[in-house]
Amino acid sequence: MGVTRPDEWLRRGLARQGAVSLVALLARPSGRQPPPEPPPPQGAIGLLALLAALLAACGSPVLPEGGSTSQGQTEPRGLTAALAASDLAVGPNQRFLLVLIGPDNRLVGDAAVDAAFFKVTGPSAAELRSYGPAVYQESPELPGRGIYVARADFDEPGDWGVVASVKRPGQEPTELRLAFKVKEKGSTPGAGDPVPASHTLTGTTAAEVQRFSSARPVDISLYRLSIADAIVAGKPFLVLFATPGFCTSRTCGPGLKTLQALRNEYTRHANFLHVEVYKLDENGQPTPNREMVPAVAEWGLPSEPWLFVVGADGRLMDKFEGSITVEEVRPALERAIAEATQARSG
Amino acid sequence: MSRATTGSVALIAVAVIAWVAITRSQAPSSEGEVRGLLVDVQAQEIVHAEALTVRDAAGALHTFRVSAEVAENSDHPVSASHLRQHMAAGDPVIVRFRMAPEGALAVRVLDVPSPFPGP
Repeated sequence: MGVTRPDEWLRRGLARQGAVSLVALLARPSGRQPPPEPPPPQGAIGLLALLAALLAACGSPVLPEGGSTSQGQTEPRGLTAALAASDLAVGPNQRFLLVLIGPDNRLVGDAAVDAAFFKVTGPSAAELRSYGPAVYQESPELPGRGIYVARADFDEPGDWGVVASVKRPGQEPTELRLAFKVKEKGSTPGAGDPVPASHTLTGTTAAEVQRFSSARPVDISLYRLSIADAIVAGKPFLVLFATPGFCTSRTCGPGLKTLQALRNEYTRHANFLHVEVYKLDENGQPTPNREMVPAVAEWGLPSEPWLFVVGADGRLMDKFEGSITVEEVRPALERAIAEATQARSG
Repeated sequence: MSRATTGSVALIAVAVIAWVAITRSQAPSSEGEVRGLLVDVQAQEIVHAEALTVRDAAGALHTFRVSAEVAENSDHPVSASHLRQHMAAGDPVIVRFRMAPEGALAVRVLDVPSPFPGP
């Protein structure tokens, strides 16, 4: 993918957009803005307008083709972007996940995507803060399905926006925009933070592990250590929070396979742990009120699955939400192993 | 506009408001379903979603508040995380909803096998 300078790219983008304000540029694409407010009523005409508004508000919902109520607005047939990251916070190198949906309601996986991240700085102003490629990561075992992953530096909390430049083979380039919020601090541990020493469940036999893990078949090696044990062990470790048995959309199962593939390759250099998200009852099912294991709250997970790479010093190296591939995790794991080796030799 | 005309309009207005109120109170609650891809899931935690947006085959966006019933349905509970995974995998859903005073409320979300095995 060719790299374009951010300012040049932005200038070209603005020229195509007719040089509207950045905030308008960021806010425009969603197609979900509320309708404009009606003008204030005046006299008898205003009374009738009020009546019309009242009728519109009280009447049956407008039914589009298919007979369903539409709470959103019909947007032009084209690409739609969806944000798949749930814990964006201030910090460098934050993992930003973008899903692209084509006009046929099918995921797009053939595009070259550049992402420019803007901090909204006022009612009609925004500043470019971060820029880079969004790399397509095909979901393991889901050919043709995947997400675009960009790394962004968020230097302050608040309202942000992304302008994604999308180029598909044989098609005119297009731009998609999304507004989102960045938190001062994420609910999950941030890079460099000491991770919580959770006393997760351990087991040494399949029968024992089946009582608290939904993964089948049971891979006992992923349950020999608790997170607290792994911190004390003084080796880098990977911990996957997922519920493979109760995740029918094929994201959690592959996450476990990613963990196992990395385990097979790096077993001498790091520890590998799986933590089931739900507390299981005696039948191996989630409890009726879907209680979570304590580690979910201790790690502040707003979603699952999550994979965390932790250094030998017990501090977070990197984290991955949702779809996780060996290729994406490997650099963080190798960095953790290299730092551990360096610390031992130093 | 004369005072008499204004008075007439006001009278008509009151009558129409009364009519709306009466018919509204007698109308059955409307229900329906939408099929499409999730393009937004608002949730603060793993189990309960607060809102979701579906894009249908025609490209229209439908936004719903999400009832606790969606996650607590005994036959087919659907967590917020499950919805996010649908969004990331491009797996379609059917959202069953009913109209509530605050707007459309999703009461059930069903998995739909994707018609697209992938390119």
